[in-house]
Amino acid sequence: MMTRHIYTILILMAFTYTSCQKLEDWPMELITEEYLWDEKDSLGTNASYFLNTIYGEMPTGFNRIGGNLLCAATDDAVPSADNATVSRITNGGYSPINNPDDSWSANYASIRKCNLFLQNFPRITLKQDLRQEGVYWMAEARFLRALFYFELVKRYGGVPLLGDRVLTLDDDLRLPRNSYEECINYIVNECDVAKENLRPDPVPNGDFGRITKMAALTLKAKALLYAASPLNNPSNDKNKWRLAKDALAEAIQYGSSSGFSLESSFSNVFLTRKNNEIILAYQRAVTTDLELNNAPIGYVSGNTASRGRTSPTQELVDAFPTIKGLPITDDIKSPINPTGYDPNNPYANRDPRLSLTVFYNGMPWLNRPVETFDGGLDRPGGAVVQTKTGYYMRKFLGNFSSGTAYSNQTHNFPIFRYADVLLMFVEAKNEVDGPVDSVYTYLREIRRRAGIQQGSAPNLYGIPDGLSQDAMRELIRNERRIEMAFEEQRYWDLRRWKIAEQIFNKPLHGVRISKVGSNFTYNIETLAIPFQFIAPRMYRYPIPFSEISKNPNLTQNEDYLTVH
Amino acid sequence: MKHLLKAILIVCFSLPCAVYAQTIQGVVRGEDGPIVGASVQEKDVSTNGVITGANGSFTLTLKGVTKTILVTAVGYLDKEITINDTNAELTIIMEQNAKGLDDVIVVGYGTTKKITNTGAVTSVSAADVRNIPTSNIQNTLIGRAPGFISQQRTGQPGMSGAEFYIRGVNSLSGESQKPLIIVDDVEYTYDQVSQLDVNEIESFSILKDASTTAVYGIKGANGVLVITTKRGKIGKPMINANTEHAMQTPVTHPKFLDAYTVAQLRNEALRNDGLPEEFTQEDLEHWRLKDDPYGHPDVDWYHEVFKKYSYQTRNTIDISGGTPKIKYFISAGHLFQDGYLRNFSRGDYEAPKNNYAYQRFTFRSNLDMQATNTLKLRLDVTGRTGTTTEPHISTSPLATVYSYQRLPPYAAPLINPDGSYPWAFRSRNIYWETSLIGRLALQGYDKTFRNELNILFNVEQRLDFITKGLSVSWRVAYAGDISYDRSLYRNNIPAFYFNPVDSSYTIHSNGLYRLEPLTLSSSPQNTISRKTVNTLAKLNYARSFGKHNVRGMLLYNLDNVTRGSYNSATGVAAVQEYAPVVLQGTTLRLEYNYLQRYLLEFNGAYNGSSQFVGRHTKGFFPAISAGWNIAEENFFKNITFVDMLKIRASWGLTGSDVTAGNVYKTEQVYNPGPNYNFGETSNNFPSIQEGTLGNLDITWEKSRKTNVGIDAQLFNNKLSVTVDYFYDYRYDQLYVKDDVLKIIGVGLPYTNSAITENKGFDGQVSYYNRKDKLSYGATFTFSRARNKILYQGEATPRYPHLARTGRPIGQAFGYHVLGFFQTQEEVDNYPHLADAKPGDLKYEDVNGDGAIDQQDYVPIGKPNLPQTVLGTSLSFGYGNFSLNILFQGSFDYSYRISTNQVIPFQANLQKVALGRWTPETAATATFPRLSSILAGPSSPSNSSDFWMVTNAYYIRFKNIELGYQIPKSILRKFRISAARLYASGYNLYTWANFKLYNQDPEIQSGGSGAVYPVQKVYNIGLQIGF
Repeated sequence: MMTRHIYTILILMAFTYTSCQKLEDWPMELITEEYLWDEKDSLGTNASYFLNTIYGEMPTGFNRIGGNLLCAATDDAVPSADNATVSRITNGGYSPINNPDDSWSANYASIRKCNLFLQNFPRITLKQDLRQEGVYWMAEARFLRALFYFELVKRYGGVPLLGDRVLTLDDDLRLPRNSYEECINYIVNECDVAKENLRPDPVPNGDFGRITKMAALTLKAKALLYAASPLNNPSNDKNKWRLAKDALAEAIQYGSSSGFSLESSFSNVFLTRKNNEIILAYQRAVTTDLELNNAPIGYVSGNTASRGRTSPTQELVDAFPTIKGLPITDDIKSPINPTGYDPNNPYANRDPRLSLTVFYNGMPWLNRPVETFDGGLDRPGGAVVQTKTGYYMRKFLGNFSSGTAYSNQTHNFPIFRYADVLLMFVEAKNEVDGPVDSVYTYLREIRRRAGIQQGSAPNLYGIPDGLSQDAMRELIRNERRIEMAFEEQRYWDLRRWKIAEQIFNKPLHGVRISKVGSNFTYNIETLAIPFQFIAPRMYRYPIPFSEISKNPNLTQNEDYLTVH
Repeated sequence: MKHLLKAILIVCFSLPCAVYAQTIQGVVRGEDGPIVGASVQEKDVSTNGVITGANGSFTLTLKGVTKTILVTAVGYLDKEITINDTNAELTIIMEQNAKGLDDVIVVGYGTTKKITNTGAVTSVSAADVRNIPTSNIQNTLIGRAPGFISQQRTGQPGMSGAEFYIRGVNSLSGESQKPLIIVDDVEYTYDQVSQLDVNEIESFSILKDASTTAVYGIKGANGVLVITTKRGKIGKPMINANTEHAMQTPVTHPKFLDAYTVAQLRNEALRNDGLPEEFTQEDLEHWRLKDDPYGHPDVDWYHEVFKKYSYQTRNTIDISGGTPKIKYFISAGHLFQDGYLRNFSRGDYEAPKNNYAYQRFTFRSNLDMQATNTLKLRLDVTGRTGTTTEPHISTSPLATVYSYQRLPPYAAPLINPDGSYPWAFRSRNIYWETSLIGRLALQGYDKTFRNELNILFNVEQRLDFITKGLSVSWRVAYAGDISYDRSLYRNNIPAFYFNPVDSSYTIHSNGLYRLEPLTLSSSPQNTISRKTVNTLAKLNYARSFGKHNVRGMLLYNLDNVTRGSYNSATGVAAVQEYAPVVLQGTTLRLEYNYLQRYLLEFNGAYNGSSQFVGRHTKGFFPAISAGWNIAEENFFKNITFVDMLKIRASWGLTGSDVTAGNVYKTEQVYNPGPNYNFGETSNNFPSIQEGTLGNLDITWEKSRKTNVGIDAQLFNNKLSVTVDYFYDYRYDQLYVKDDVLKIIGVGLPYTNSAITENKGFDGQVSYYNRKDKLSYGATFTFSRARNKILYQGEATPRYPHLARTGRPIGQAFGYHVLGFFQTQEEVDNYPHLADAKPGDLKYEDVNGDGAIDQQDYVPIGKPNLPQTVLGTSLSFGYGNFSLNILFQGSFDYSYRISTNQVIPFQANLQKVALGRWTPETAATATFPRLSSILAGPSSPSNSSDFWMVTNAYYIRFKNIELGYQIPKSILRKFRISAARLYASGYNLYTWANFKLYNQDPEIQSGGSGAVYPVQKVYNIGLQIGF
């Protein structure tokens, strides 16, 4: 009898043990490494998704630093708001602890993803008709890795090169830095290898936005141009310039025979997804965010007021020539020159790119003229964030001179475009061979596209024949400034040309416009905004303190050791 | 099985079936007279027993051979009597159980006697806290139980359970700081334990050291709160009913300045910023004279919106009793807590009732059956259902009242002359809000319904036929918990601005002329459901061999937890966090003592958790402890005033498998990322991202616990003393290290890396005496626990003052304030934040680099959790009167004020702002200069010790209970056996150094500042027994 109870209990117990199993001991609903790189995924679907992530980590410009453009830390613009994050760069600079544009971890994270893809993707057997696509993807990952290294090198100088390694916690992560040359050579070699397997240009419409051979040629050329520039080429080794020039010539030669040319309309370059000029862009969904962020503050689209975050400077406005292509100081309006520059009507008869780059007083926008005069709707005074200079940024924004509200627009950030290639070529060519014919040809081509009047020889498009090499260099630099404004070029150009210390450390200017009746008077005013550049330290970014403190093999850039 | 059924039938009908019977008769008496309801049982036939009747008399027919009866009665020592003469009338005199030595303490999976206990355990009888008028039992233990440290963060009905810790915190992971809560051997969550009704509870035990927590192995590292519920005792049915009615009122009230003062200060702030004044002299004059209630309103919103007192009631009824064959405890309880909002409904049928409220019903049925002489069955069924109500409003009413941006005193009149609701036309908010009162009246409610059901079934078989003292039991327990939300609401109400100048009405920008219809949204919104099934099999052994006493326990335990959750915001279940968890383990306990003089105990658990993989699944957690009862030694016997003197020590290892976030920390998973666009037209393409690295090697946190203690009872058990010293070394803590180079390019996994230590002491001294009708006692408890981070894989900070290692868990960092800048010259000559002016805070430039930035942060203050907790309770009894008092104090902590609580013109201004710096009051200023810029240099958004009570403390008159036992002579007429009338209070008075900011000293540091205030409660109750 007693034993029967025990049996009952034992049976109950046994029942318990078998019935209480764990539901699942594996995150079955989650994507695992095995699933991602499944050898049998003959369409490579998941692998392609992984590659899409890497694409999404390419440099994206626009209002990326605390809501401001990086160019708001150059002489082209200032942020409209006080205490903007980006202002730290012009107000005491970046430190190993606080750097508004620190991208060390982000780029190494992206490089890791490229290496993961390169390491694992070959495991997948794609079906026959996708094999070529697979070859492209591998080359794209290689290119992207080189692009991320270029982003690092442009900021920090030489950085540790990881090769194809996917680092693990068991590795010794205390890697030393490679030299600047080693890094540039790595980028150049990677581009050389990748270009053979990248998609040839032009690509079908559906593939637009993917990396092509032209992108590899451009990145290689750009890396070489940076390496030849005064910051990285203190002895002015002509051979470095020659290498850059040759690479650019190759890019132009390949590009012009593969469908690249200057787009006929300057504004189209930024507003159409596919055009002849874009070599590589960060492709985004259509949005109104650029309009809302940067258009003058008096405009309300739907229920949202525009924020006018960027205030271009008088310096940038003055850099635009007149409609004849002449500097405003050389083309003053007079009875015999009625189309010259008129300080009392300063925006008339100017390079058409001016009105596509900045908003100025009186320009049409959403059915009314922009009012940046004192007390105007876009410069009302008081505590609201508003322009500091009398201008707002217009570039990249849709064509909303009429209409009542913004509609979704293509806002792809141009990483490489053909005009950049031409401008880089003329720069290198001028350094190697002086202002020879091809330099004039390409510059005039850019100006013609800009809508500058042709004029007559020897002053075609406002560029006089027979300039000295130095004068030509200045002209190229100015052309680069106005053509590429707000595209995150000048910020780096000022550094690689090693002229930042001359450009900075001077006050910037804006305009004060007073309206009396229907007349405007324009007064240039000096902005009370710090605009510092501490040379030579600021030519390179400091490596983040958190990395330096963990890695004794990592040497900090010059001049950062003694200061915080 | 057939036999079981038969047993139950027998129990149910209690058929007497004696054949060769000898019948005995007698009376059971105590010191004060006959004992009614004592149990008289035959010793070797445990099913044969009776209960004494009206005069303590009984009649029992003996069936066994030894002819020994066992008499037990509550409050008396058990007595065994061998019957020699079955014909004589027996008079059995019971001895009162002296408070102390034979007390039984509940420990993990069993009980132990106080005298032989070698671990650090604190036991609190639920009877001591039963009449404290709070809805959450964890609010009653602080100050009574040494080692129990808690902070009640909010007083909101239904959510007012304090967060509590045993011996403070000792883990860097917040999730892994919480103690294990065990109710009748089943694990409960913080939330679940808040729902329990104290009337169902018999006792609380707080297990603190390794010796007592090792049986819970992988879950024992944070200490354990063990709760046992009441069970029936042999005796005639006792019906006990209790009703309590209370008024609640906030412990602290904010006191905001009036419109006239605020408007003046607003102008001053704008002047300080070089901006034009907002209000004209005429405006100010209106406010001073209060002559324009619509154009220049001046409303004390706090008093208009909140009432002073809100109601609370608690009612319970239970019946308990039993025969030797069946014992039962059945109870039901009801609690209702009303909220502090006034009723704004104007009889409008479209206004759903929405005051804060909490309503809870609890029921429990605990049954014990003696199925056969050796087989016991137990079935506990308990359920709780609670409803929490809140107004449907985007920002809570108190937060709105605190906010200057939304509701300055001159924001709007209470109501327009035509009875319509106004909108806050003078607020700083650009989307002027509609009337707070209107919204409270008409916007509807959010309700959360929470239902819980627990079932426990236990079988215990004595196995004396194998060896004496052996028994086996098997148990399965289920705990289910489901909650869901229901909201009946509208988002907007009509509101108008009344302009007294031309008596015009302007509609609010929402354009509503009439009420919108109500919207009903129901579950599953933010629903959590949880199912736990616990299975347990236990082998017990207890036997004495002469002077040697042996006890042993072997236990197998299996927990299965499945959780589901649905988030309406994302529309998906939070699957990752709620993966099913399985825990299983085997536990062994061995106890040995020699004459209760030398004590030795071993506890060990071998258990595992499905949160880990491979060889890291299972671990062994041993603990040993020993004690020496010095008073039992012969050489000590003549020291008569010492009844007990015991020193004890324990050492052992326990674990914690609690990990935050994804349970699959071992695996690296890949997640969908943001889409990317390809093609000539905008086309989204999906992406997959690499997730944080997994770590196959992760395992539970471990705690090496050392405890040394002393227990003493002196002067005839009148004075008792317990003191424990402890040292916990917590290592292998799951932590994401910060010292790995970023070039690895991926999120880092949890590793078992961090180390912290926690040490301190706790204990209590109590004295109790009784003389005739007078009894009195006092207990003093103390707890102190301080922790320190020993290692956390911290990257070397730029300056040593920024290091977290070596400092307590939860240390705050911020600027050290040197004072106010007094002159512009001083500002110019010392590093300062942008825009600093005279009257702003002067922060110390700690690193001397000429700039004030986060590199100048230093540790400020102490952690938010008190490091020292003291409690003093006093009790007096005289005749039918009793009085109990508890004072509780918390010390050694810090509290940081938040922007929403104090920053002028973000928060409404309180008295503290009157001490502002002005050039005239420079020498005596206690508050920075006023500024209209909210994130200015002196704002609390720059963490600094100015906005902190660095050495906070409070002492609370935590509760008082005055009771009167109504004399039996009166009750007899009403056929009531006992009745007691009492009045009690909770949080009656608080002494704190917080007065400046009018905040409750227990609320979360740096919190939003507008949590539902902690309440003080005045309560009366009546308890009746039948």
